Amino acid sequence: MPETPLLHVENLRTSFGRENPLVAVDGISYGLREGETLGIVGESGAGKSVSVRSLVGLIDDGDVEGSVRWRGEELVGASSRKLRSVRGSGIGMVFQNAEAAFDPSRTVGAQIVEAVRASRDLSKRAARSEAISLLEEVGIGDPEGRFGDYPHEYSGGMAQRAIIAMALAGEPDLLIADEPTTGLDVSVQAGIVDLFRDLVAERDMSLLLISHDLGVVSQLSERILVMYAGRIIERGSRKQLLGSPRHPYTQAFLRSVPDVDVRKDLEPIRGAPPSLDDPPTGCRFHPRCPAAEAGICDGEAPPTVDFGDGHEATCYAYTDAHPGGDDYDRAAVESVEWEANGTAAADEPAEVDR
Amino acid sequence: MSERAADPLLSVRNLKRHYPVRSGILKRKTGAVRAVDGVSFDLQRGETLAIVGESGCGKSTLAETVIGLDEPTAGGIEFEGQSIAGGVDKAFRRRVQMVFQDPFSTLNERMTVGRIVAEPLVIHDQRADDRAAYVRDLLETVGLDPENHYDAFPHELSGGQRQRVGIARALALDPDLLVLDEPVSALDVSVRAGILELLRDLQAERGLTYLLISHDVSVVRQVADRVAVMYLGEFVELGDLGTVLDDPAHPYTEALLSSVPRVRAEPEPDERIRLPGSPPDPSNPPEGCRFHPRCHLRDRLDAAAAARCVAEDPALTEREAGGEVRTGADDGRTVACHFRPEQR
Repeated sequence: MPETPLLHVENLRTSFGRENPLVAVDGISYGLREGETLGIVGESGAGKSVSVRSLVGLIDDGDVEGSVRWRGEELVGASSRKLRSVRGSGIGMVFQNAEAAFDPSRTVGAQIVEAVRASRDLSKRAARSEAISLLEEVGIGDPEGRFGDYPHEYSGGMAQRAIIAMALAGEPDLLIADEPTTGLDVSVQAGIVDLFRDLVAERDMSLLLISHDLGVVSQLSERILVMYAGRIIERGSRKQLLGSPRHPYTQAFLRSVPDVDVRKDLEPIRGAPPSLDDPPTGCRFHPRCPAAEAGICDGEAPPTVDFGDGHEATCYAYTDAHPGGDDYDRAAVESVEWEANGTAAADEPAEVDR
Repeated sequence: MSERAADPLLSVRNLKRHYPVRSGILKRKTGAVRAVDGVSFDLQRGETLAIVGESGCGKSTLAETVIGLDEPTAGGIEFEGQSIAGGVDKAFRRRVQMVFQDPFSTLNERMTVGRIVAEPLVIHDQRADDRAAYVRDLLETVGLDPENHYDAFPHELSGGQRQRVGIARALALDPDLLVLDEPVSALDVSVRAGILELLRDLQAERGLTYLLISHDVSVVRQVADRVAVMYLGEFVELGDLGTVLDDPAHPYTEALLSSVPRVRAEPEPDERIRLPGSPPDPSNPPEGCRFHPRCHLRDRLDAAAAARCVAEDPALTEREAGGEVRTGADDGRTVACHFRPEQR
């Protein structure tokens, strides 16, 4: 990336416990540009949520190492005052559980006013009208009337919109949304996806979207990271990842997703995601991987292979160390049914050091 | 579909389940939540009927009422021609089993897998002689390893393995009908496919009949033969899977399908139908067609036609029973809408 990214994460590692620590996030790196939407997708235990909480100092009982630079400023090890101020104005957060975000005993309006005044020097009256305009911006009908309602008086979808309004109170440049549509009905979920798209466009804001739902991620994100057991195993544009996935996990994950438009042979990934207190050696996917080679994939951590244009996969199958590399890859890619005919097979993949 | 007319395993007619709403200090009955409000369907042996709808549409209440966990307010349920509306007997409890959404909360954490699966056999006093061997066979049937899993506790298993235990337990009494209530909703995607595949295989091997309750149309697409779309306590469309999902006739079905986020490498033209508002309160459903306040098709109707949607509740008519055909197509489907697609 040529210009300085808004957010630059380098070798982020988050662990819990002193002896025999559980490493939930194991050395991930990425950058986020201004106005960009980046999606992080993965299943339970992938470390998605812990990784974004680690960015802004929301890990209480664990150790965060590595570097997180926000507009060039280091956040790992920053004072809690500094982190609070970044969370108040630079970075807004939307979490999955809408109920937990609001105090049930106070009105939605009062809580948004408080969030507005915490980051901006406004009179009570001005903050109130700002809160009402935020409620309106996120699509709550009759915002003045709903201002005085308690959280329980909001439906699930409205509560999620109100949470987004609160996250916008400090006029953030980056919104981090962790499973923002999980648990919502599809028709409500679709409205939230629209809202995020509009907000990013109108506010020229960046969005870091975390979800287990590839459908939601692919609707919003031009770039996608795939996490598995605490590591990023593949990254690329939506077109690269969904059209010509390289990592055997990404390929298998795509084949396991049921498609609403066609009935197909379902291909589960054998086994289950690993437990992080005792992760597999080498590539963490190797016990479930159809391409795994004993003595290679279970040894050292795999290298990251560059397929060009920002598409990378961390896998031995594309190196000389692995006997079946390219053959395996072609067959698997072709059986992904929704392959876009866009990205042609990459030229000679080059190993990169990371 | 004429062969469907013969001997359904389960037959539900005009089923209603209303819950009283009480208010004031005297807790007087002031209204009713019409969770299930006049639902009829037949379930043939060996088929999978999916009930799909969003939260609050009444699909779970329908499932619970059908298996006797809840008493119907009105209407009839027959299992093999015998009415069960007055309460279910032990034979029914043996032949109809349920698989629940959350394998984490429905398994007794202090029991081993072997005991959990054997429990229905103990309750019904079955297989006293070879219970352990039978349970081991069942574990193998659902893709678990008897050696490793028979003596395991639920917390030692993954989510997918726990759901397999739930399925083994449901199979223990060799039932005819399984009611599957959101059986994969709590599971990771990569694990989901394995459970759906298992359910398909079990049905083929054992001739099981499934009533699948789901909010997820993608899951329904993978396993169902027929689908009923439920909205505010009523079926709005019922028909063969391909008929309903490939060419939805009811505007709600159309909107629901269009809302599902597709996984696509290239963005597709946005043809989503955006429904205004949220589903209305089932204790005070709209007059006329319950969907009319959110319906995107009413804009295309002239005033007189649109007035009908407000005035008259469209019935879901059963074609096979000789009722009025409203779809205008000879596809066996029924739709609760006043207007045929070509009239819109």
